[in-house]
Amino acid sequence: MKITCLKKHLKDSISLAEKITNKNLHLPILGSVLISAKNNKPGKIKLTATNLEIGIEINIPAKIEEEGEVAVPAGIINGFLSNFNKADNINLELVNNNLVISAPNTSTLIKSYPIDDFPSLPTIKEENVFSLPVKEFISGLKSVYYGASLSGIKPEISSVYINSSDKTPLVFVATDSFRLAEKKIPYKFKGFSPLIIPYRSIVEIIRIFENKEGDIDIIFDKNQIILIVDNIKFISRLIDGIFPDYKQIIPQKFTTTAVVNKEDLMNILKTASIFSGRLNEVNLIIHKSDNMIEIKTSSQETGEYNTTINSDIIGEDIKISFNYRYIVDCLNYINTDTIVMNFNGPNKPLVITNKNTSDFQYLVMPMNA
Amino acid sequence: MEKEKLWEGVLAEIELNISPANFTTWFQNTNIANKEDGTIFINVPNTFAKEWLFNKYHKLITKALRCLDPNVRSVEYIILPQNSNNLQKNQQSSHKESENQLEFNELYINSEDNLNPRYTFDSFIVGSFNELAYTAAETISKNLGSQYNPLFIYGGTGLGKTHLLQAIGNKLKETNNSAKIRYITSEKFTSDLIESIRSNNIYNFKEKYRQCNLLIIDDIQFFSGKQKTQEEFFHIFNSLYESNRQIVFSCDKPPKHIEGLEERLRSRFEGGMMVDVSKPDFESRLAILKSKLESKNFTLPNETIEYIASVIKDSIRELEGALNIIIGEIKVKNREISIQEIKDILKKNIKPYKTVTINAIIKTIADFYNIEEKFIFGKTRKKEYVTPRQIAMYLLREDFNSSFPYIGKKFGGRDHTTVIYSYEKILNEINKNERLNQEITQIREILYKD
Repeated sequence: MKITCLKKHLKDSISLAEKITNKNLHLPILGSVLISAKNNKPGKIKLTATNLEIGIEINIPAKIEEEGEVAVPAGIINGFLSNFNKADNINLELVNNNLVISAPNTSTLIKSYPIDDFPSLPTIKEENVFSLPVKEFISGLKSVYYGASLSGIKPEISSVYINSSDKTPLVFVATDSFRLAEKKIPYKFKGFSPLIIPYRSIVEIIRIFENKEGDIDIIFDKNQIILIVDNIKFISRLIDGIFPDYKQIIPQKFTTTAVVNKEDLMNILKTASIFSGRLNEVNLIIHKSDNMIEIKTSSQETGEYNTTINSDIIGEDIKISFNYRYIVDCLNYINTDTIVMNFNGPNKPLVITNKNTSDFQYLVMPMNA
Repeated sequence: MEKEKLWEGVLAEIELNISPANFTTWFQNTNIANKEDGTIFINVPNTFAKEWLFNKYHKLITKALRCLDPNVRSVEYIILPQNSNNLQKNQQSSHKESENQLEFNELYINSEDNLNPRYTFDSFIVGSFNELAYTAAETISKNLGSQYNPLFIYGGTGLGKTHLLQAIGNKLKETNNSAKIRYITSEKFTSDLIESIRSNNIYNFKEKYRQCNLLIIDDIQFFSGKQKTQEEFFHIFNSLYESNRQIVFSCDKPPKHIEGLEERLRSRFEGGMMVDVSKPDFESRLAILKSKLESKNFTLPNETIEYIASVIKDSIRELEGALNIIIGEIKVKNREISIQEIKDILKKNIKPYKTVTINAIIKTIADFYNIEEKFIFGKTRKKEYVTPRQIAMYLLREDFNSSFPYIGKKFGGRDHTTVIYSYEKILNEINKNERLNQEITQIREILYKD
């Protein structure tokens, strides 16, 4: 193998790939990134990394003088490239089965793994491709993924659920059974079947594709999903299960509705959290007659906090408490100035929505009254 | 050769040929799923393993298989995900972590049978007020369809009917894996029926219920006045009953008091075992509070518990609600709270207990029939007084569970057999005499309206 490429391309791609690798005692090669240069793909080299749960393939432009493949420890090559500022162009060469990276006046040798053990990424037979702008797709994921369960006991909810049909827009849902976030984006796909993507893959998908432009192609079958943007191909297993019938949880009618300024509420909740106890409990008391919400916290160690926030209120007065974290979490992902809080009395979920649009809703269960 | 033995042989052969690292990585969690016409289907844990075995070790595997079984012609790989093991058990432990944070219970309800695993016989508190219902429920969970069929449990709201009903289903699920169980509220049944009619799918709807070994219908009183539902249900009922499938109902009143219920259904409801759950007595209320506290890992002074038990008499649900409010208040205030404070809290949060005294009943009936109260207590045998008097006795017995001798004593020292006679007279009369039935309903409305 003998190639020349821009250092920047290699550095950026290796740092994306490194996160996918895995320290595996049985199979140390999973900690490596595979660099392949093939003449059937002229002008491009391919970087591959996988931890057997997810995998990534990145194609970067390069001049190939000699074909070949090498697997090197991702941590080592990433560490080297991020500190190597000398040249713009670098040469990669295979010498005695080790990788030599050279630039004017510099030469580095990185010991490699035998490539025979490097796993091949799964492929998908039926080509069912759905495309949409990658920005929209990532915003859908980001609007809900923090709500997924982290425990792993129920894999189907340690995930993000995605679905669409020719009649219903693409919907993203995540829940950990204490709260639930649902985001709709206006793309309708015929022949789409429900997808359950593991939380850990979602975190990587967001990291990898967050700042990308253009369209994302989504290809999937029962067992895995492939996401492609430009030169990056990401693969993840899917959860083989049934996402809970979440629609039955969403109430259709409410006894109290309060409209508040999002920033104000967020600031108050953050301050209140200083004085909340071990359970992160904040008390909300809604006073219709005064058009305001009273917010209280108290803790034996730190003290007490008591404030009000103006609000347009329809319906009954109510007193209810929440884990403030669960409310703050969703406020970050609402992009309007005002939000609507819908209540149904004690021990019933609070539903938070945008003021004017119905594309996002967030349900959160209160603390036991 | 058996599948397990065959695969063991193959693994032994492969282990000799590849590195231990590769062997553990790729052959973990593999086994032979099936053997069919010379094709061996191998279960693998994920797509990576499938690709890898196929691309890298396919020849080796095929060779090893053929050595042991010459009939093997081809090998296929099937993905069998590993992530659905023992969820049920782990789930319960995770629930305990968050006693104060409420959850969407719906997520834990099994969509096949609609049962919530938290309702079990073990967590049901048995007292004199529900002992019979409990015993009947437990019995049928062991002898499906043979002993009490249908079982009809009735009583006011918040007394644990749903808990009992679901416990039957959960118990059966535990002991018999293959039994088809379905729990549904009568409202859901109706809306499913309407949906199936609209989508021309009524056959599937019927089949779904006819296959059940145990069908549980909660709050059957909402069938009232819904003729089409009653008709469809009647056929499902008959079909289940004839094939000895168990049917269980709950209702807020006995069948004879469900208005707008077809006679043929009423008689079927009454044809099995009817048991009631009544309001818990003071001791039971104490026991319930204590057990709830225990499950929440919280303690309250005895005096406080006794006070709560003494003021909240109507429903277990209310009892639990009150307890939660008090615990919440203690947590917010971070100190113990006095009985006086508890009184204030409960006054604010619990709807006032409507007390209906004997005098109120008598007064209402007297007003209703436009007669003087003293004639109701009196001994006059005039017909215009006798019927109101009998209705008063009937209501005291039926709605307030007063004993016959007590009623007799109140009504000028009459013998309890006289009271029984009056009670039964009205009871029979209601079914025959529509006017009397309506009058009693109206009296009840006046009495119980807030």
